[in-house]
Amino acid sequence: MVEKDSEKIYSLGYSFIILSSFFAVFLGIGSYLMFKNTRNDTYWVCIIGALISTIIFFIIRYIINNNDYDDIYELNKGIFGKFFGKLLNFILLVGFISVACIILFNNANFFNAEYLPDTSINFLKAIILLPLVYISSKNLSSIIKMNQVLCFINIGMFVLSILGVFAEFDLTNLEPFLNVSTGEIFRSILIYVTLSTVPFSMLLVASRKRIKDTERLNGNLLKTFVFTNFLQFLVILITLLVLGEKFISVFRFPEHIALKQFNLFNILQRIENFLALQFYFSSFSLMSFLFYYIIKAMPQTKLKNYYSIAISVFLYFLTSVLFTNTIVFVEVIEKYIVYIILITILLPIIITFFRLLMLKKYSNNINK
Amino acid sequence: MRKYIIALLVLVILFDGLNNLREVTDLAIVKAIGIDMTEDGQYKTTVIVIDTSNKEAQNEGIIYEAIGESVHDSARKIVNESPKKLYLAQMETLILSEDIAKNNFEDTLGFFIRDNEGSNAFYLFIANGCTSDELIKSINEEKINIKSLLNSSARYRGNCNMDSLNDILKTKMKPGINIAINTASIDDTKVKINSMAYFDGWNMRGYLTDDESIIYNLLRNNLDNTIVVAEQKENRIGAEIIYSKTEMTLDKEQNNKVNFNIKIKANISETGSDVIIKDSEQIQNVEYILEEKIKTDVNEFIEKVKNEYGSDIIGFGNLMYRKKDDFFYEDNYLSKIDTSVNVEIDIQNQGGVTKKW
Repeated sequence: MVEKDSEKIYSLGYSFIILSSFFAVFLGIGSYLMFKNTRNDTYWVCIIGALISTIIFFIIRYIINNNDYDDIYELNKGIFGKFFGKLLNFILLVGFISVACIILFNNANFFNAEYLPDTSINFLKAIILLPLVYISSKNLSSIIKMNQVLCFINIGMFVLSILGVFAEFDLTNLEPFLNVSTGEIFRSILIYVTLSTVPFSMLLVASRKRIKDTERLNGNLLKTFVFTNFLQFLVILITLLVLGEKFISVFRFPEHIALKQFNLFNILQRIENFLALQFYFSSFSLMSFLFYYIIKAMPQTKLKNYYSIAISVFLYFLTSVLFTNTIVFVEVIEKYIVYIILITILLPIIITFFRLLMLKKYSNNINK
Repeated sequence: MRKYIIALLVLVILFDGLNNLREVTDLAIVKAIGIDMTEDGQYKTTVIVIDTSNKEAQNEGIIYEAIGESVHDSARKIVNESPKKLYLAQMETLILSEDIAKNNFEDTLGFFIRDNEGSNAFYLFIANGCTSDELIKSINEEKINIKSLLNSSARYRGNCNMDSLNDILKTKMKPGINIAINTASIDDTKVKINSMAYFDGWNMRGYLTDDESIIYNLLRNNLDNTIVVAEQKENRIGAEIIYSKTEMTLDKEQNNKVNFNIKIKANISETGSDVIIKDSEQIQNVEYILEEKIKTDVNEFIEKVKNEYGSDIIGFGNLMYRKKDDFFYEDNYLSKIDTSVNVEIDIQNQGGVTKKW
């Protein structure tokens, strides 16, 4: 069933899903892992990673354009049949719940480590979940509109951040060039490509037929994809230019430490707390789409209005059980996050893509 | 149902969450901290807390001190004297004793690197010839703004620099370079900025002389302004350096050789009676004399760093590391390095006069 408000989804707002979600998976997770592997060559990784992730982007765009259903769940059920479709959806659901857990804990950990060390991380999780309970009770077009507004705020704050740390740039921090092994570069590229799958997969929340201005859809998606990867490249490059390879390795959230150097003409200083809002906004956007996804996967019964609360409580306790402390969390993201996303998100998407390709080829042959 | 759960969550947060919440009136805003090591290996922390109740005394604060097993422990024990918890986000100065700088520098800084409240944008000093406690108390008694004092010395004398803790750590973390840190001392009850202390790894090794500190800052591109004097008596030439830029490059032909190319803009500020500057040839002659003077000073400093101090504070190793020169990995690479110094001075003006009076 297409929601009544689906006509209000515009391609620009829809494509901004990538932009808003991208920072959320890289702050304290993607960037941390990549810097650990490739140190001051990480910006090269961003360029190569962005080029390779283009393949995943086009796969997802193909699914969106050829999805005659409402979303990925309906599509899977439609093209694979009930059993295999539900199995794929379940794997996707596990993937989205896992990512939601990681983003929730990472966000709470960020606030705990950088601002509120005396506050229990469980309270921080509760605070983060509260607005999500509210926003996930809204329909998709409202979530997309909210996301669009947050995107513009984020871009503004990002530009201000660059201006503020510009004086701290040290070009020698980029040397020595290409000083890491190919194995390390390969690992970092894998991290970049895998993690960038998460924001792209959020696009599957709606199909082409739910977008009002479909003629602009592909163009807007491509522009946002390029722009987002460029911004991520800038974040990595600027962090390196400000901190240098060795200093970066000391911190869990190096982007935030780079932001602490903010000084705009000696007039505007110490506003990193305000600028760090962009990290929260992007996490909030990604989490709201993940909530929407998880709710959509559940049976649409009379109780569906309470799902957001149930999911919040579930995530709250699941993160408490899985991540007993920050060290465990860091171990999990270091060892398992790539595999979790590869198996539970990327693999089902690729299976769906090939099935769609086969069906299209089959229908073309029949038409001939 | 949803309303009840939301209300419950809100109540939970309101009643128990956000333990970091503090009103401005509850903060003991710290201006400077001094840390010493006691004889039995404990940390003694002395702090200047801004006296918010006395608006007329701008640079005067309240002194608190405590002893504890760690920096955090000793700083926290201050709450036994002060009704407010220390707030470090606005801290301007951290002073460490010479003993700590020599033996416990890394461990002591650990607290400040981890601390989430501050931005590590404060200035670090080593107490030279006195304890940190004495220095902190003198700063407070003399109502000295040590940040302004440092700023003036760095800007107009050049024997210190404006590197914050973050800048120092950034340099420290780089391979092939050691740090040098500002020092302060008490001279007849007056607080003064002294020559810099040099380190080897995380341990302080000794002090540079005042002139060496200036040359160090020149080579590290941290020199804004200073006075250089060449020759003596009636041949004396005094010039004020107003701009300097040092470029360090590896020699393309000799793999253990580093070339320094120093470009300086200066103004003539005074001359001896025999010095006549009327035409471009005489200007060039003055430039040559000043260039030779700076060249000699730089060469002497480099030799001293290589052979006497034995600590790569100039960053030869870092340059080789960045350029992937394997010579960096050789044992005692510092002592085997060959250098070549080129100084170019451009005299901008002669102090607004055209002839001798």
